[in-house]
Amino acid sequence: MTDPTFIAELKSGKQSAYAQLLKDFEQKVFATCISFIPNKEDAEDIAQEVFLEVFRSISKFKGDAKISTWIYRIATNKCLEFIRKKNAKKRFAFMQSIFGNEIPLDKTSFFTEFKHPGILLENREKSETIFKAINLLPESQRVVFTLAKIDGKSYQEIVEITGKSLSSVESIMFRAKKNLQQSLENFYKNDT
Amino acid sequence: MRKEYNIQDKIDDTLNVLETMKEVKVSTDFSAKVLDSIAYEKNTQEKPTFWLTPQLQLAAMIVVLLVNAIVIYHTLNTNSVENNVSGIEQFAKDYNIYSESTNILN
Repeated sequence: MTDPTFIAELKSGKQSAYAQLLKDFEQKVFATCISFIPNKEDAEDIAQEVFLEVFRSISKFKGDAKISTWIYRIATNKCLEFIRKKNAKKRFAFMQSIFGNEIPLDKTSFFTEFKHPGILLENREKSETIFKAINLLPESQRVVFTLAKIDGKSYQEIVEITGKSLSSVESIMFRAKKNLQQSLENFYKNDT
Repeated sequence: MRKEYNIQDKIDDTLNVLETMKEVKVSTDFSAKVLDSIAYEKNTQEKPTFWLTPQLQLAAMIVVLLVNAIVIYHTLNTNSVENNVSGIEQFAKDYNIYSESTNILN
């Protein structure tokens, strides 16, 4: 996949090269997107944005990393960008509601409508809870935890995608688990 | 104690949900849509026109600087000619008490 000829074809904008790239990566990129954003439509929109970004930025790809790593990095950044924007919109809507403007505010504080077809109906409530708890984590912890536990990436892949050292990834993961435990504990204490 | 145990059970159950998530397949028309978008972007991408080349931009900048230099040079020259007019004549001109004739008997 990091074949220089293939990269050159991508750089020249060859349609067949992009068709091949999509064949190899559409499912993987979509899986990463839906791991961060539990809504099929939103995840597909972002995955589409990822491939368009690859098309726009392939000229900047130096080839020092694997193309897969580069694509996953774009996918992760696009997802975080989407979450940041949605969270900012929620905050803005909340402020508007405080000042009395009539902007409908979702009942949930979550950034997107929860529509994950891979989740069994009986687990829906728990899934929403865990996704909300993940959303409360600091960004670096959210990235590492999501890539490892939802997208199923190995620590080595996460090291390549995030550019952090293995020990750093492990320590971030440890803190993420600890914080999740704490948030869920608070959630269930208030719930009962 | 029992309550805390229940809470920990709930937390474990919630965390375990992540293990039960099934793979979601991307829509079948996804790649076609992306390829269309790429083709559209490729066609609408503005091709750099000839005047955007760095050489021509440099040449344009030199022309602008030259024109500026010429205008400044001309302005300074005109000023120096005007400065030759005596101060009194200029004063008279400014207050409309200037006459073409210099003879006071006229």
